[in-house]
Amino acid sequence: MNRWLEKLLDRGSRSRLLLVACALGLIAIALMSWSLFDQGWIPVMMAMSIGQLIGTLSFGLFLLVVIIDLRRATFRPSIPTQASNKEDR
Amino acid sequence: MVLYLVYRPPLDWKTKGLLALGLGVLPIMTALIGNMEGLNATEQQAFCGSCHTMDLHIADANDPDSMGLAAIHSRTKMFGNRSCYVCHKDYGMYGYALTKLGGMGHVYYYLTDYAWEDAHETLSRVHIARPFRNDNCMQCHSTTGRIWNGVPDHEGLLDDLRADQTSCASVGCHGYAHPFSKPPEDETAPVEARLGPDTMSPEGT
Repeated sequence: MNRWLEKLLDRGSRSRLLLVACALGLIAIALMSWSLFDQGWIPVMMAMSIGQLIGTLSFGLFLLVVIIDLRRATFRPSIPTQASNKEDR
Repeated sequence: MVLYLVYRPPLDWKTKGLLALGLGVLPIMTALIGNMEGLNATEQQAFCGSCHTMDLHIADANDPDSMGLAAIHSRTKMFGNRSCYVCHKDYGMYGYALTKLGGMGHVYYYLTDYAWEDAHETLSRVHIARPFRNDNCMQCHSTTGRIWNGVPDHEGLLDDLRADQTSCASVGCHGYAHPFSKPPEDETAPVEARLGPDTMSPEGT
């Protein structure tokens, strides 16, 4: 599981993950909105269980993309090192 | 989200910001509003009646000619279209959560047993999960009023009623809340119906 997750974080396609997240997000919002218009037991229970589960999954995938972004980012130091200060002089 | 699915724009800060709104803020807001609305909906008579097994109970509760306890109470503003919930909810400290859990049990029984049968077929088998508690009646009828205590049966049974030894909604007292659902030999007209409308007085209860 850990190895699989690490592989996903290293080589995972952000755009593909976001596509899945967007599709799941739309399904989740549709399910959750359904209960606002039809308040029978099926829409209400679907919204409060499956709808929210899919929504959480979609948000989780988005957070995964953020983590992948952060892992791949190259950070520039905000405070110049002493060596570079000397060079500047 | 739709734009991303259709056009697949480059992942710059603007796209990421919009996706954060679409995948984070919007679903969370929808879930919060949905939860509030959904939980409110579960208290409505229409929600209980959305299972066809409850069709006859709802029809009786809303029948202006019915003299069953459920119908009498449903006609008052305090109960109205929330009458199922007001009478059947658990009034304890964790009552709200326990009532919802009980409702999940109803869904389970509905899906595994009653869903495929006609309401008339299930009528004889549908029953309350545990005996109806007088505590629920006593939320309004405090049993301390002068007029209420003036009824000889109330006075004689006071301790039993408060201890749930005798049910208010039983044969010989006020009759079943949903009398149509009981076998004919058990069906007894409520006391109010037998005594006539002049004796029905909610004041002092």
